[in-house]
Amino acid sequence: MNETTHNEPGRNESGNNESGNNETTDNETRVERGAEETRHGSNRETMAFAIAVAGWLVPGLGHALLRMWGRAAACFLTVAVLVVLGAGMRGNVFTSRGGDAFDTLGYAADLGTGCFYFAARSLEAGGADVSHANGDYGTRFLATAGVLNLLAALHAFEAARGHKA
Amino acid sequence: MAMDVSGIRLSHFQAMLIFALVISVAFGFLSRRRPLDQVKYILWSLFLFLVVGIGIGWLMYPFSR
Repeated sequence: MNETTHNEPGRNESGNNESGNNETTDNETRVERGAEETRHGSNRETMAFAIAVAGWLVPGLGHALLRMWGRAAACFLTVAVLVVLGAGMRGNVFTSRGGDAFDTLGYAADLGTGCFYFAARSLEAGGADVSHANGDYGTRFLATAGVLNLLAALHAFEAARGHKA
Repeated sequence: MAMDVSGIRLSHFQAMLIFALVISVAFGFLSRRRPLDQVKYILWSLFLFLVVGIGIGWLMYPFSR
């Protein structure tokens, strides 16, 4: 805070009117503070975005970076269980070479698992088999794992921004 | 190195139970802060998943053949 703002409003020691100067100083201080808050907010947004991306790539990492250990473990384990079961039940792991909109949608959902997408593909060496109910359930498990991980990444993003989460 | 885990066979009920449990745990941890609230939420969510799943199964039964 500038010292002149502590003087009697509108007057300095020599009795001259300084209201114009005081207002200018206050405005400058406000502008500087606003710029600092904007900078700080921008850094926070960038950090929150980075945390969300980390949480997407490695399930639970976003929460781990925020030191939310329980949530991090829960996210990692739930996504891992769904991916291992989905691949084990020979569910369909969609690729980018899908022919229709449903394949594309499935690919987007599967990509939501981040690094587990590649784990699912390597786990499912025999390929998908959706001719039985198990394979169909496996497909749903894999898609659910992806959507769940995206939800967790969004949650980490909101928590990093300081919103109640 | 590829590891093949294919061959997991689950019944319809087992698949539903595991799915409901995993989703309930994830929702419980993400939506509640205190451990007690999390446990309550997980149990309640699991219960509803199973009741609604079995209920829909029964409703669909007449149309299954």
